[in-house]
Amino acid sequence: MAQDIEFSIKFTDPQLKSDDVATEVHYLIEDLRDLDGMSQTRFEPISEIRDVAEVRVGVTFAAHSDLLGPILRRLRDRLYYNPIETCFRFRISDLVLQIQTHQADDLMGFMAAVQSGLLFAPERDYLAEAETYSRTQGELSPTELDNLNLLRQRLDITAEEAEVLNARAASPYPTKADKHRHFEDMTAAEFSRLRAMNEGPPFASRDIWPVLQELAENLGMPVLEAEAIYQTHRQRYDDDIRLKTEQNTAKTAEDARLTAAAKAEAERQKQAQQLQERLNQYRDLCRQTMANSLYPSEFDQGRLDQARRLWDVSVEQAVQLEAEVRDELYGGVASAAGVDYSRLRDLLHQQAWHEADMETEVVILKALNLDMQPVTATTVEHLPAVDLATIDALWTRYSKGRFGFKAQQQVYRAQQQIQADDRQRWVAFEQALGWREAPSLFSRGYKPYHVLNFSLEATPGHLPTWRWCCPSLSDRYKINLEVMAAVMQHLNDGMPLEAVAVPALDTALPTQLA
Amino acid sequence: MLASATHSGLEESLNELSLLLNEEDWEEADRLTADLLLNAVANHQNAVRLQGSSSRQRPYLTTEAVAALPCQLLQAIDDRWQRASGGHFGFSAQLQIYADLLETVDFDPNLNNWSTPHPFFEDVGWLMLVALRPIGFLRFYNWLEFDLDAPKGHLPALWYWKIPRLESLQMGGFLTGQGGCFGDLARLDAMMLRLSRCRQIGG
Repeated sequence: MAQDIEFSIKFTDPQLKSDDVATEVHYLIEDLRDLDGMSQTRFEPISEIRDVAEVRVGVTFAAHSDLLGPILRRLRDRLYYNPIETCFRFRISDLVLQIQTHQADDLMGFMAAVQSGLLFAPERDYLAEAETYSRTQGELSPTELDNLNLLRQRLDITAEEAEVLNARAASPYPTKADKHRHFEDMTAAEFSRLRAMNEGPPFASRDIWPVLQELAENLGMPVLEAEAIYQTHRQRYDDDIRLKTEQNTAKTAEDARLTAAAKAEAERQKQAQQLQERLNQYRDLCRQTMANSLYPSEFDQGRLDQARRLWDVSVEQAVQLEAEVRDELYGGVASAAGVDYSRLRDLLHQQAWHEADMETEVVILKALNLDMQPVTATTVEHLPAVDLATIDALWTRYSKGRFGFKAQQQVYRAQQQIQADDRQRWVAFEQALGWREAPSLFSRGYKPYHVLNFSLEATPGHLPTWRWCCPSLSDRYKINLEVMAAVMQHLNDGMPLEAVAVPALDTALPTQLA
Repeated sequence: MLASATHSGLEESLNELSLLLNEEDWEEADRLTADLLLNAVANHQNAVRLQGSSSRQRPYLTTEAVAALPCQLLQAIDDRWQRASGGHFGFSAQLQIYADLLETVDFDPNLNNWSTPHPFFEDVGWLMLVALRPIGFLRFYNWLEFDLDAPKGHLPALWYWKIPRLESLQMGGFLTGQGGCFGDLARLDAMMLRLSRCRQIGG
C-alpha cells in the first residue's frame, strides 16, 4: 500500500534573481523539513546554470505517499503567501504529474485528486493488470499468476488483498467454464427472447450475433468458442422455428379444415332447412290439389310437376310426399304383409262398394300369401292386425262407420248378448248382417253372393263380406261356422272393441239373458 | 293313382299333356288333366290331414278341394290347353264365358227351376240335346265332342264329370258321374272362383 513519491519542485519565475531563488529553495527545504516525518528525508538540490554561475533553482526528494497531503498543503500555503511561478513534478511509480503555476488554487485541485485516492491506488493498478490477463485467455493462467505475484510485491500489496483483487479481476466469472456457462445462458436467454417475440430467422441472425460477440469480448472469451456456442443454439433455434412453422402450417391447415367443415355443416343445415321449406310448400300444394280428388287432375298434376322442378324436389321425395298427403287426406294404407291397399282406398273413395268388396278379398288373400286359397280357421290367424286395422279403417271412413270389421264386431257383440246358443248366435249374426235369410223348412236361407246389397242402404256391417272365407260364391254365399268363429275371434283379438262402445240393444227382440 | 307324384313326376305329366295336346288327342289330354287335378287334391289332403288319418278315399274335386288347388298347376294346365287349341279350350276360355254370364245374366240358383240350367252349360255345349233332355241334364261324358269344332270352352270337362257315385245318384244320374244329371253349380262356381283368384296373383 505504501509507495514513495518522487517530488521535484523548481522555481521558474524569470524575474527572480539567482540569490533569491537560492534563498527560496533554502526556505522551502526548511519548511518541508518542519513537517512531521520529513526530518529524515534527503533533499537533493536541483542546480541550473544561470548567468555562468550554478544556481540552486529547486529541490528534489522522495517522500512516502502518506505525506503527500501535508506536503501539498504546505506547498499550497507557501504559494498562497508568496506566489512565485513554480514547476511541481510528482512521480508516482510510472505516473508523472507536472504542474507549473503561481496560484495556490491550482494545487488545491490536485490536492482534491490526491485526497480522493484516485491518483494513487496500487490496488487499481494491480486490478487493471489482473483484468487484462484474465481477458486474454478468459482466466488467469499460472504464468499470469506468477507475473501478478511479482507485480504484487512491487506494488507492496499483501497476498490476501491480491487474492481479493484477482477474484475481482476475474469476477463475476472467474473460470473459463463459468464464462462458458454464462455465455451459454445469455445466448439461451437471447434465443428464448427471440422465440417469445417469434421473430423470423433473418432478423435474428442480423440482430443477435453482434450483441453476443460483444458479450464474449467483454467476458474475455475466445470468439471461436463463443461462436461455436452461438451456432449450436442457433441450430436449435432454427430447428425450433422450423418445427413451429411446420406445426403452424399444420395447425392452420387443421383450422382451415375445421372452419370449412363448420361452414359446410352450416351450409348443409341451411340447405336442409331450405329443402324442408320447399318440401312443406310442395306438401301444401299436394294438399291443395288432392283436396277434391284422390289423384290430382291432369292440370293439377302439371302444377305439381312444375312446382317440383321449381323447388328442386326429387321425384322420389315428391312421390313420397304425395303418398303422405294422400294418406293424411284419405286414410293410411299401412300394411305389415306388404300389400298395397291404395286400390281398395280408391274404390271405397269412389263408393264402388261391390268392387271394393272384391278388392278386399284380393288384398286379404294376398296378405295371407297362401296361394290365394280361401281363409280357413287355422290360416286366419296369420292375418296381421295392422292390415286388418287398415282395411277396417278404410271401410269405416268411407261408409261413415256403417261398414267395416268394427261394425260387424259390434253386431256380433249385440247378438252375443241376445243369443245364448252358439249356433243360433251365428245364424242370427249372419241374418243381422243381411248375409242370409231365416232358415225355413225348405231352404237354409243362404243367398248367392251377387244378390247381396252393395250400397250404403245395406244393413250396418253388411260389407265387407267375408267372401275370402268361401270356396264358392255364386251358388250361395255361405261361410263355414268354424271359420266364421275363428275369424271373429281373430278380429276381436286384433282389434278389441272398447268396453264402453256397447251398441244399444234392439228392444224389439226379447233378451234371453234376462 | 299317382298319389305320391313328385315334382319331377308332375313335370313329366305336364310334358305328356303338352304332347297329347299337340297331337290333338283331346280326350286323352282331358283325362290326364283330370288326373293331374285329382293328384293335386290327394297331395293337399295328405298334407292337411297327417298320415294318422285312416280314411283313404278316392279324391274328388269337391268345392273345398277346388278352392285349394295350386294356382301354378291350374295355370300350367290352362297354358298348355290354350296354346294347343288357340284359346278355344282351357280354363281361361271357360272362366271368360262364366264371368261374362255373371255380368250379363241374372241367374238365381234358388229358383230351383230344373228346366233352366245355368246358361254356362249351354254355352260350352255340355247340355244334352234338347230332344233328350226334358230338364237340364248334362251330356254323358263320352257324348262330348273331342275336336276343335266343339263350342268354345267345351274342354277340359272330365274334372267336372268325375264325382262320387252317391252324388251322381243324388243329382239324378245313374253312376255316370256328372253325365245325365243336373250340373252342380257349387263346384263349377268354386272352380271359376279359384281361377279368378289365381289370376290375382299375376296382376
